[in-house]
Amino acid sequence: MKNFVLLLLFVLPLFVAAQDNWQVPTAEQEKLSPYVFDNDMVKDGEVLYENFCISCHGTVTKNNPIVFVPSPGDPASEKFQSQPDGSIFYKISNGRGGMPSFAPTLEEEEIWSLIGYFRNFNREYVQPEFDYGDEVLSELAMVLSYDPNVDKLVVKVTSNGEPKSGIQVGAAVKGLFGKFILGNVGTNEKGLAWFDVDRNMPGDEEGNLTVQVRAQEGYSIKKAEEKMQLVNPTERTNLIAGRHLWSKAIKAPIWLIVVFNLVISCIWGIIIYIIIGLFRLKKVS
Amino acid sequence: MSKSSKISRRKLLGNLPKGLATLGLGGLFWGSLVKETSAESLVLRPPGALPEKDFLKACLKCGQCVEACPYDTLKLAPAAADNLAGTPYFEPRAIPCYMCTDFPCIKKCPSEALSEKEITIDGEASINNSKMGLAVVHKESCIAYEGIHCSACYRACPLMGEAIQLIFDKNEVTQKHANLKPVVNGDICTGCGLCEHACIMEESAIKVLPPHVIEGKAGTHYIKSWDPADENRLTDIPETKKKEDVESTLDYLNDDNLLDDE
Amino acid sequence: MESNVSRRKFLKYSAATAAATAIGVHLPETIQAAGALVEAGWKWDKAVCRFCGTGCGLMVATRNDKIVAVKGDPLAPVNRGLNCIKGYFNAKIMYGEDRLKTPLLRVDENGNFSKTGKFKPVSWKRAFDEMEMQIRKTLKELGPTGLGVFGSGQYTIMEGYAMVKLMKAGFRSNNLDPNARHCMASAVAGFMQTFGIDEPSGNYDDIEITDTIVCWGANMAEMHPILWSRATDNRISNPDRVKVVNLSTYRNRTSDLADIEIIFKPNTDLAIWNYLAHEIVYNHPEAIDQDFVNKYTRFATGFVDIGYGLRGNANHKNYTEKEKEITGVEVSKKLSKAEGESLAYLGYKEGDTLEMKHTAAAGAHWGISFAEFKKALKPYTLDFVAEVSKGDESEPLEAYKAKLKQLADLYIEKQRTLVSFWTMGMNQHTRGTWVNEQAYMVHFLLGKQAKPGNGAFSLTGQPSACGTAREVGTFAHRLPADMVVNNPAHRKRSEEIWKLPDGTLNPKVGSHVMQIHRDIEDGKIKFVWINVNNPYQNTANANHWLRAARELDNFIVCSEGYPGISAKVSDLILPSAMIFEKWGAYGNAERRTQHWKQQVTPVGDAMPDIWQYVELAKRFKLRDVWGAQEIPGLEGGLPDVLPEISKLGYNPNSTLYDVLFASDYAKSFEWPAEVGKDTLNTEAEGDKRNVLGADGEAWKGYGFFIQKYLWEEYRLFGLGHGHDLAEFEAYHKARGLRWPVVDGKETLWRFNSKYDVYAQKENTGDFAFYGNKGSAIGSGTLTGPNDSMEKTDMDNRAKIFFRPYMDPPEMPDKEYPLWLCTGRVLEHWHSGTMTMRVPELYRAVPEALCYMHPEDATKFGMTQGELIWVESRRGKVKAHIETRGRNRVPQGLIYVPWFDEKVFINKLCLDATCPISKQTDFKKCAVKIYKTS
Repeated sequence: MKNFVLLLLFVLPLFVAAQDNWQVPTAEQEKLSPYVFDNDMVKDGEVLYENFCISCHGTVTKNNPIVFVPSPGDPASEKFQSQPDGSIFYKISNGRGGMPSFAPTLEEEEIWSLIGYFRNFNREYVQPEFDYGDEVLSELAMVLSYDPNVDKLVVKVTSNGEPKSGIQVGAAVKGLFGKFILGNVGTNEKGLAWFDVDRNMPGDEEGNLTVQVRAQEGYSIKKAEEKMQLVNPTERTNLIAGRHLWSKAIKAPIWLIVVFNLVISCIWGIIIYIIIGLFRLKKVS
Repeated sequence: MSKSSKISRRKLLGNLPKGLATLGLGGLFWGSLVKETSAESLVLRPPGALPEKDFLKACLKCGQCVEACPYDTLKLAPAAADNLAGTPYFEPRAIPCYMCTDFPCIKKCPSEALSEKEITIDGEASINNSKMGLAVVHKESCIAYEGIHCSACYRACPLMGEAIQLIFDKNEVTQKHANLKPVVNGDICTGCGLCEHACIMEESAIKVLPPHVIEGKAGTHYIKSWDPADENRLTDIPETKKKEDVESTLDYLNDDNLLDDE
Repeated sequence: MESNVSRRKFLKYSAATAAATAIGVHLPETIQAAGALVEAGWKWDKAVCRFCGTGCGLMVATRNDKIVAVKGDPLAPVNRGLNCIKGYFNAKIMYGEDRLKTPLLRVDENGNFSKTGKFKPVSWKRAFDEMEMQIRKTLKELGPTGLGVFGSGQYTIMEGYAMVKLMKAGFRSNNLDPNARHCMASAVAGFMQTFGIDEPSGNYDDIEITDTIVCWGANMAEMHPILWSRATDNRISNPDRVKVVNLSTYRNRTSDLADIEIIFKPNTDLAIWNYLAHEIVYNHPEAIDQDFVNKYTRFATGFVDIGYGLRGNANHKNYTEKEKEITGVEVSKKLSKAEGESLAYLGYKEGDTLEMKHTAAAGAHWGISFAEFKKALKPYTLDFVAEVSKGDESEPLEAYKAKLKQLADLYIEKQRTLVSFWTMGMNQHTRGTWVNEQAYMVHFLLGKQAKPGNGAFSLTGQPSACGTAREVGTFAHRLPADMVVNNPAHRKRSEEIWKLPDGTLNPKVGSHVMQIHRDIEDGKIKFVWINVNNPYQNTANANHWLRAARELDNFIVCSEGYPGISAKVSDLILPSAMIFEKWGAYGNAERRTQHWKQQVTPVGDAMPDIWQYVELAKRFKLRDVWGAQEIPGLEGGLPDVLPEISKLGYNPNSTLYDVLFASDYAKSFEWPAEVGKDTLNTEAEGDKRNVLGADGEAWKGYGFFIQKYLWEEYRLFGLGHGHDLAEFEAYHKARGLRWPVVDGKETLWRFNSKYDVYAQKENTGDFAFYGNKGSAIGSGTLTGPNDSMEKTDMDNRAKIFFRPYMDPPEMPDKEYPLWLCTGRVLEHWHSGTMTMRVPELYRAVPEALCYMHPEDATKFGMTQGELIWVESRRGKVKAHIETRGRNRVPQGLIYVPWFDEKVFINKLCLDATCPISKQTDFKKCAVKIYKTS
């Protein structure tokens, strides 16, 4: 019995080792990203990595993935980086064993942004050019404005001065820990997309919020981030100004100071009274 | 040292039931002296209310209908109002029933004191079938009857043109204007009171009263020849046993006093 | 152990308990304090109702200097002692709780004016000091065009006249325009273009005489109630003969009496009038009164590429992106299918782009032949018009067609007398002038005009839009008695009567109401005075104007009785005397001018408007205003007339008061006067309050009868020119007189030689349209004027216009699928500043509702009574849905009245106007609705 177990122990790693080689079909390996790995994509990828990947793969470049067989690996490692883009894309999309499949949870573009993030750690990496064929990438321009008459964020999308209709525009308000999504709509024939804004959303003292807008037509993406006055100004009251129970002793409520001192005085008074009494006793006896 | 009288436990226990009994008897005694209104109340109930006697039995006085009403129309009768205390009612002059098409008050009632059945006719439940009350125009005080162009009640009525109609006739004073006189159709009026609320006079000339205060009822001894459906009333005649009183009949007959002059 | 409960205690305890459970103790009712028994010490005097254009006569009872009651005036022919429920409350409107009593100025902590300051009470002197300073500042920076006055159709005639003098003769600015611009301008333009002279030819007697009453976009049952009572009486007294027709974009209470109700799509009244003309000309030419048409009319037409009165710059910096989806139509527009047919006569077809080339010459017109006229009417067959105009999608087309045919038959029936009434449906219209002209077109073809019981009758909305705004000329382009500023002969006549040097008056037409708002937004007008109206609540696209008022560098003065929206956005509020607190006069829709005397002392420190204008006049000397002035767009500007003033007896230090209001002629009207015996007159003699006036001293009066002076001087304009008014005293004896009053006699039917002295004088037969006396216009064809053709002679003739159908600038589309129509309700007047403060009227109708078809409510997932957002490209408001109300709208349209500050519907309306009349179209724009939660 013992022997059999020992045999297994030796053999298993072989299986595991065999599994280490994750085969990707050739066609998939050649897949390339139609999106340029610019700073925006890298940043998006970073956010996604932290939400979906870091729990197993660990912090990039620190080589601290969780203990697992086979090891998830650090994306900045040589082994990882030696793969073509398409392989990484395939692996993320389909998963294997402990690694979940992330399509359709993540959009194609999001998966590419992860890859863009990984490649950012590889100084020697040059993004291969994507063959768009006949498709011409349009140059989109966006103008953001706030319409106070109807409380809407209005986005005008133009290309070479002409309004573009049918463009998907997504808008969100940037928060401290994430985004509040305002909506995702297509532009009309005047190139306008609009999003309702609740004027009671908390902004800063002037009512400013940072909006992030993203317009996309095919593979052409335009992003904008702007601080705009969209909401009612937030009155910030200083929570430690004035007298509160949680203030410093000097700034304690008056009644507390009075009562406290009164009680202390009473107690001291009693002590003194007793001591005097004792002295008197002593005198008497 | 202290002057406190020692109350023994026994005495205390003994006094307690005595006190309670006193309270109970006294309450009954005085309570019986107070007149209970045996007649049906004069308040307007929410839509879908059962007939008053049944309503008073069914109403839990929970107040959910009052909460459900989006217009704050309903109120709970105060403690001083006999056995109505705690039941929902409304005063149209202050806040009328706005005739919600989805009647949230009826839907909320847990005891069916307000019942959807009461407003269902031919299988269709509609707020327009309610009979909270009947509006009555006092023609002699309504200024529209004398020629002032008003008809505010008409325009306020959710069943405008059906529950309240305008009758036109020549104004006899000016001879060239018409009077636009509001007239209520009792068959259609739901008693919501929007008319009473809208009346622009200091004291409203159109008032909503509980239907039983206004409606008459014909005895079953006469059937209308022109209305075939009227015969159905014969099916509901209760059997009444009239007491025979032979004694007083004989007393009368035997009292030989016709020739007396008095 | 004894039972300690004695009998006494038993009763005590049990009673106490019973009290806790017994029915409540009925406290004796508080005896109401008996009011001090009233002695019969009140006094009745005649006056008029404060509200609509019907002009009912009232009697006012005063006691102890307070108005205690009113009654209908039994001797007034209009109402004979009856009133509607607004008139019913005339005694209460001056005594609302928040009546303004002291001047209020926005000040900072140091007491200096500041736009961001809060209102604080100030003295009249401080108010006038600030006004003077601001006017001087504005004159220096922008000249006379930097001033703007929002005038009113609710001014008394004397007030309007005083302001016309002050603005035009004093400050030489034509930026005075009344709220009547929003109300009657299209009717006025229709009159001027057709007749060459303003105001209806008929009078209210037509209501009793006529066989047929046709209401076009006029909810007479709610808006002219006493006239409707008269119409109803006619109808019920003659049920076999008399017919009533209601044409509207939604079912309203006027339909209750109507024999035929025609629900049409917004704007398609243009098509329906042409259908009637088509029926007459093509199918019933025997109905044409050839004699009348040949002798007294001419055919005419004008341009169609005239825009929609929007800003010329479609990309103005203040337009939001959403607004810009529409504003481009002012520059060019793609023609729709219907327009492709209606404008085919000009060579257009569906899908063509119509370039708006004639926005500046919108009113231009020329004579055409009858053949041309007939040709243009060709497309307006019953099929085409029914298809285009049917407004209720649930109505079968054949039924709708039958109704149109019935309507045509009524018009055509030879022996049938017929009156067409209209108010805002036809006037508040981007082609309002055209529609007005079309009404006359049909009536002229049939010879049914200017005769008893026969005629097109434009009903006036406001109590004195006729009497003051139109007749006195408180418009950007007008002078009294139908004269205009850009006519040198008219200016000369005015300068003569006003004793001004030649060239004083500004010949350049000023800014109309919508333009004043736009100018304020552009910083071109920086001093604004609001008189007797509520321009910030009553003007379309309100968000722009509210922002302009609050955020830009300007100074807005509001003379008001109550704190309405305009007061709220102003910088200086002047408490003003209300109707019976001053001598005054109104002119109603049937040309009846009615006067009243001051009944009570004004409340608080409120002062009459005339006093406010005249006191301001004291602050300015001739040298301040009559020097050379730059006027943008006027080459050479205004000349320096100071060298001429000595000839007239003035010197450079004479004030405008001396020259305009206190001349020797003015002072010749003595006070006290016989007609004013035992009557108050705050302007003439002061009053018991001794209000500290504009100079800081107690007000003791001008010392002469200034109101009578203003009246008598104003009269001079109209005498002998078809606008004759009687002397002042005559109006205090009669219950109003219908002008022209010639030799003490009223004129009932103008232009008709039997009834109108002026027409008789012309010796042209039965009629004379003397408004066009001696005039001629150019000639041309349907496509345009042709200078080589002989001019069309218009002597004593009126015009029959051909006008095509066109779409409105904003129509429902995918994003904004519903029509929005706005208007009023019977219970409330205009912006509700007065009637919302009468508790009974407020209780009857406390809020403006969104009238909607029940199936539309279901379609959008909403229920009766639900609070929803109504939103257009320009703004949004919340309103409660009403599917069962007084207005039963067809599917695809909603109706919201504008009297409620809390439902500020004018934020949504489009600021498009008729390009000719500049009247705003409040009746149609596109909106969407959605839930609030």
